[in-house]
Amino acid sequence: MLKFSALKASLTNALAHLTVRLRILLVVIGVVTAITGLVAILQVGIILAAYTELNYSAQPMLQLAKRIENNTQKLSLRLQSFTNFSQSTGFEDPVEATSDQADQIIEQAERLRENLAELKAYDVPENLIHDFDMRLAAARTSVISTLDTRDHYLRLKEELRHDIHEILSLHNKSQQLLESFTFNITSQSDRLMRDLGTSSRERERINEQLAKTFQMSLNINSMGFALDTVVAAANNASDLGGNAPSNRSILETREELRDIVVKIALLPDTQERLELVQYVARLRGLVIGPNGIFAHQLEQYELRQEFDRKRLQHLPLLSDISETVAQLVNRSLEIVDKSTTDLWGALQNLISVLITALFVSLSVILFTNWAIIERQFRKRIQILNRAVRAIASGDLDHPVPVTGIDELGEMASALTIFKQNAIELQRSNIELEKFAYVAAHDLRSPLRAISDLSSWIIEDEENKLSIESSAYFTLMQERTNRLDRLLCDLLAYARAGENDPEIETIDLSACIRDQIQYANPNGTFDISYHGPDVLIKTHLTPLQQVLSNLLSNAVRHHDKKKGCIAITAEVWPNQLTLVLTDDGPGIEVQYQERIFELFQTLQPRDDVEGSGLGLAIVKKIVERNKGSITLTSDPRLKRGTTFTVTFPLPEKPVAIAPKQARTAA
Amino acid sequence: MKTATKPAKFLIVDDDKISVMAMQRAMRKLKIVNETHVCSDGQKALDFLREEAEKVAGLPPFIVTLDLNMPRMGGLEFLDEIRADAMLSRVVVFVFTTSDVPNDVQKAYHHNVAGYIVKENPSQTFSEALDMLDSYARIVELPV
Repeated sequence: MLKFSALKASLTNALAHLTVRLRILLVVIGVVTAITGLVAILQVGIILAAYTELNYSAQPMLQLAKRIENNTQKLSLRLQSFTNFSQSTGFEDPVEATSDQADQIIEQAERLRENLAELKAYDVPENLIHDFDMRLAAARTSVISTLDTRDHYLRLKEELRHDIHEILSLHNKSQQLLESFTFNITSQSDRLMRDLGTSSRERERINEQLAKTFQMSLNINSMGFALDTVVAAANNASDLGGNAPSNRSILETREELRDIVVKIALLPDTQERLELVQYVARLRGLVIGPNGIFAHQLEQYELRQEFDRKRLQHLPLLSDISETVAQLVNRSLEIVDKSTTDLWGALQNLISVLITALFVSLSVILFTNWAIIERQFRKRIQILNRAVRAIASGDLDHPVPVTGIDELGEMASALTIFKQNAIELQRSNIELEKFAYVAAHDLRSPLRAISDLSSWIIEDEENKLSIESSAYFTLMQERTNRLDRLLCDLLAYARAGENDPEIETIDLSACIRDQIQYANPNGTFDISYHGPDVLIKTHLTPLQQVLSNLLSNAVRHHDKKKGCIAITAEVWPNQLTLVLTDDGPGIEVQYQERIFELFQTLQPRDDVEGSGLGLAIVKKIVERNKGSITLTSDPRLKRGTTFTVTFPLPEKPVAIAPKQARTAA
Repeated sequence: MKTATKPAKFLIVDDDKISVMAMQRAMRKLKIVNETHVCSDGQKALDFLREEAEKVAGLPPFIVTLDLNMPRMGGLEFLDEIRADAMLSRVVVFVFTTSDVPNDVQKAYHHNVAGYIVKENPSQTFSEALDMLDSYARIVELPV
């Protein structure tokens, strides 16, 4: 239970943080974007699938259906013209043209079959394809059989021609024979006529014979006519083409032929009669025989009927095929439609998803912007910013009216603490100032009194004092002086680096030479200065203090009466580097840290007067001004000490006309 | 040539007896014989000057050496008062103090002091300063 509440508390705490909230919201946006992306990808997938189908399936299928339709139309046209052709211009047309047409039709049918094979790859009902196939096969068979019929017919025609030819030649021969018979009979009758004139008894016999001869010639004539009629009828029959044979003419021809046969029997039994009989028999066979003209003509007629029948069959076939094709086309259109609808549906979905996502994202962003950035963040950070800047610039009364358990709240409370610290510090500084002031006056005053009084005693009673007393007094004075100097230095230390005055434009060389003068008024030391003639812009007092202290140290700590101090200055755009080198005794390495501390001296105060604060003051000033001080010395190796001080320059120096660096006298 | 004006008198305004003694010693050494008065704070000095003013019905001929750190009324307050006083406003005042705070210097000169002297090295400063005051007293015409 405790753990849960602790967890809950820490969770609430974490949630209050701005970064956490912003992160959560970013995560939310990220999740929304991800979901949108996924859904979009799904939709795109659907779109792609629909598009693929459309592109690779429905469209090609439609194109195929169109092709099939085209081909079917061509087929129909050809079939029609094939049929019409033979109808309009008769059956007798050049074989090549018609069979060309038939070839084309078959070729077309083949192409359609190929198309059908392609169609199987698509989403078409099996029965549809099957039906179409069947119908195509039927059409093909029909055309082929029609052709067959026609071929048959044409063959018959040939035969007929042949037969007629033979018939005609037989006719000729028969007629010739008949003519010869006629000639014989005529000669016979001539003889008889001649004979007639001679005897009267034989006249009856001759008249009988003449009558018989006359009858014979009549028979022969009528045979001749009959033959002619038969041949004519046969000719007619062969010319009929596919038309209906005339039953009457058949009967008549049979009659005639029977007649001829009867009449042949009446002819004298001669070789010619035999020939004639042969001829006539043959002729009879050719005309009315089972393979005769009439038979053939009948056959032709039947073939023609069959042809017409088949022709008529084509029409429903064609319409069936068209219907099938229409169905196919419809089917493919359906598929295209479906694909398009799918595509459109998917696109709509996509659009609506995207719009929704956009809307959600925008509202989340707007909400974030208002709820978090505006309310929680901007206002408060603005207030905090103002407070920080005000406090930094010194306005320590500025309030920090920002609260909350998030980062800004923490910063605000930290700022409040800083403010308190700053106030404390300010108060502290003021206290220190006061203290310094007090030290300067209230401590030094009685000290001065002591010093004065003791010096007056010495002045007034010099003669009355014993030597020891004089010495005591002298020592007393020395000590009071020391105390005074210590207080001065302490005051200087306390004030060092505080309340720096404004940046002044300083003639560096002049300033340094002044300090040299103060440190070496009698000129006992040889102090030289090398440096550029520039005007630097910095705080004057700290610079003077540093120089003064370092120089006086160098002078005071020198173990010889005359010493050498070299000062060099380097001026950079943002830094001043001073190097002070003396030829004094040097400072041992183990003391080099200590000498910068307060009240540290290296020599007893009786030997070298010094408060031990000089370097501490220098260090404090230098560090307050963000510079640095370093010391190089090793008495074991050689004499001398080098102090290097760097002083940042807040503004760029200004060069004056270069002059030769002069050595101070 | 000296006019028939009254000789200048010194008014030492300082609460530090030793400091006063030092000044007096220095004066003795320099053989300054002008009349010298001492007041230990600003108020007493003011009262004294006012009395003297009535006596002479005008600005009394005093050169005032003024310390700044005094009880009751300090040097700067004294200056405030005296410069506000119509009759005494023109009196010559030298500030003689241990304070070298620039702020004090500014404030003193704001009140048109004749000079601001910092008591550093006791005997030397005093000697020179008093020497200067002596010369001042002899040469300069005091306001009336």
